Amino acid sequence: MPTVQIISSSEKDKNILQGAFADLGAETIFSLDLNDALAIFERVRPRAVFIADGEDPPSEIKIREILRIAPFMPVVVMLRRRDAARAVALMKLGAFDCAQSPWTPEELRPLLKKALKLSGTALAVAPPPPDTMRKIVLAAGALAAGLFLFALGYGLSQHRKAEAARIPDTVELPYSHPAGIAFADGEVLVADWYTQSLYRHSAADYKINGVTSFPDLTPVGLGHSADNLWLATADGRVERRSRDKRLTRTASVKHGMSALTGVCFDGLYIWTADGKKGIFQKRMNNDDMLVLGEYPYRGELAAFTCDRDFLWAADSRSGEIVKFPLDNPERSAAAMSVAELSDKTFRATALGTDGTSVWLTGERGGKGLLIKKNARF
Amino acid sequence: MPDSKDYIPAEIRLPHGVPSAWGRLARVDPAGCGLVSRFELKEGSGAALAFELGDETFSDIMSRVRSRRRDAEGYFTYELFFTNELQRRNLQLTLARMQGMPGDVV
Repeated sequence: MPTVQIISSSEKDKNILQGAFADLGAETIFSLDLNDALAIFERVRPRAVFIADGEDPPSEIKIREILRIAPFMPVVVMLRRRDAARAVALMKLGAFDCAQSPWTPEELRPLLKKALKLSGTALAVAPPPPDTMRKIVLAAGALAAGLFLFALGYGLSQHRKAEAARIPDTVELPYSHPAGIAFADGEVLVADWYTQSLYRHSAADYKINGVTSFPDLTPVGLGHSADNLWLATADGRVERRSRDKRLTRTASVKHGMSALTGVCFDGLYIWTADGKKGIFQKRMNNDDMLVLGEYPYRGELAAFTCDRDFLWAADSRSGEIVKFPLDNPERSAAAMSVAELSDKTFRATALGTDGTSVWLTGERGGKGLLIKKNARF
Repeated sequence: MPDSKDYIPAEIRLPHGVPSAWGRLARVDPAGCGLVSRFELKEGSGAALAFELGDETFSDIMSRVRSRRRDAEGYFTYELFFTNELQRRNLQLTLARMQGMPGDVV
């Protein structure tokens, strides 16, 4: 049974809608207002959101905030009266469609069915069972044909499975301005400055597992450890955040760099880099993130990260990813050419490592890209 | 069946004082458009569409329903043709401009 979230503060509307959606076979989760809706949104993971129009804050704001944390969520606004001009205006803002009053099962049925269909193509390992008569006929035919084709089909399916299972090394992201990358518990975390959000992608297939929105800041860099995330912000701070569900802020420091190019944690120290000045900075892992040392970088630093063994730099002049030993950050240990870095249409924005791979994010032609390279070079 | 919410929203003004409806344009060309809407229009009936194409707003685009079909979710997909020659010409110019072509080459 699909779950839909309904935002309505009216007890009367709630009773009407609960009955209507029950008739349609949908489970409903009610939220009294936007804050309540956003608080339970990630826990509930609804298939669609229905907003009762005419309440505070206006539906326009509710649509914006919901789509900020779930860009692909079908949002339906339930109008108090048939108002085509308002419906079109809301649809331009991102609403999937609008219902008109009265909110009966007949009115809501097509909207619900279409909204559920919007959320993705239904995938099945086998077609639905046919009726009894057809089943007998089909079974006889299928047996003969199946035996004949089994060997050929098996080989083909194995080949296709292997192809489908192969995870691509370059992925187009469903947002356009990736600015930081980190890793946690089998997930790839990408911060997007434009949507002011942190997207959690499955490392297995890059599907989005969840989104955390930061309405009060613009992320421009991201680092991670087992317990914390370090988030660089556009207003010149580095924030330490616990890796709890709310990503609670535990420290916030002005970094004093003119163009922060990356922030990371090597297991002992925090590192930051300034692409404009061409320096790496080693910092204490405390609330003040005190600078312990500065090391020059002589290339054109486009993105930066580190792990327990190396500092990593994406260089847009040489078109390489270069690594430096932690104990000698002025002398490169190895470099690998990366075609994307030499491509003038690509702009590298962040670098990250998960131990086995080095990951690059960037923008090309208005699209956000995630690129994976082998870190063993 | 188009399911994208990225299609252009359109207001559908109906004759005889029937309140306006709304839907989305699945396709637009100078001769007509594909329209997806929950609201039922009869074949052969007229409607005036209002929508935006790029930075231009079109209103009262006179059209008539050529054909329709209803999908499994209960939405109607209509094929409409535009009936006003001048409006067709304006649409043609806008569409050509959006595709980076001179207005008289379509």
